[in-house]
Amino acid sequence: MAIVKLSDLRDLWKNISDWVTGANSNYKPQVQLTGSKAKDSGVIDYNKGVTPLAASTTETIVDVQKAAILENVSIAVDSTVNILRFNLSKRKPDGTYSNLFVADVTIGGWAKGAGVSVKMLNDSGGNYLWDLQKYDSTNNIYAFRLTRPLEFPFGFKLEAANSDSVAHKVIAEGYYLTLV
Amino acid sequence: MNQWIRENFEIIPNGWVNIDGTLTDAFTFMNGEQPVKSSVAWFSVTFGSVAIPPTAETLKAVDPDDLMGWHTHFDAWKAQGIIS
Repeated sequence: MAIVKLSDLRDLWKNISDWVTGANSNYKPQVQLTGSKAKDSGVIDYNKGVTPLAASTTETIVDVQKAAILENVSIAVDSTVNILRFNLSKRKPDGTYSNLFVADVTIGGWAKGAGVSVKMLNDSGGNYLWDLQKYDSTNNIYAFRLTRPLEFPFGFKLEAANSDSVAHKVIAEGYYLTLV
Repeated sequence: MNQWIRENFEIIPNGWVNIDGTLTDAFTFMNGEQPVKSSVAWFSVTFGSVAIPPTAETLKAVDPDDLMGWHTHFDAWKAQGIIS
């Protein structure tokens, strides 16, 4: 085993400290994350469990008006029929929104996005964007989850739409990162 | 009711997507911090029997058990002075 003199170790640490952002003269590392684009994080917490989403209404679950990564979102609903939709829109540079995906919460239903129709929440449990996280047919409870993060250069908006004649329970949870 | 809605709320032309994919006019309002959007046509039919101007009481009377979940919105309208 090589013996390293204390002075050499100090010099080595000093060199290391040169590229550790924020290191001070005492060579105590004050580590700061560099290279990450994340500026802040946000929580998606939409709870229409007690006061359900009213008939024939659309509500905004989350509206982020800056560059962001939607890291995860899970949505639980109390209905199987083709009356609840979740519209994920990308925000454009001019501040308007362009619908990206329409996710009909229906077993065997369809999601329309990017000019194609994609089988949604089918027997195999999802599609390329969403998967069926829980399916409780006895209690009519369904939950599905975004399967991968999505990056939006100018922001995004997620809406819940109830086209039924009665109110429905909807709960959405997740988080996103806003970018520098 | 259709006219009353159009006179009292912001209208979004073709802002409501019906279940069959067709578009109709929507109206929007705030319930607390939450923006809400609904179909002008649907509301006009569903609450069309209510005398104009509507009140929170007459609107709620259409669905006394609140199966449609609109009572909280009518309370918000009342708090905002849109209805009495």
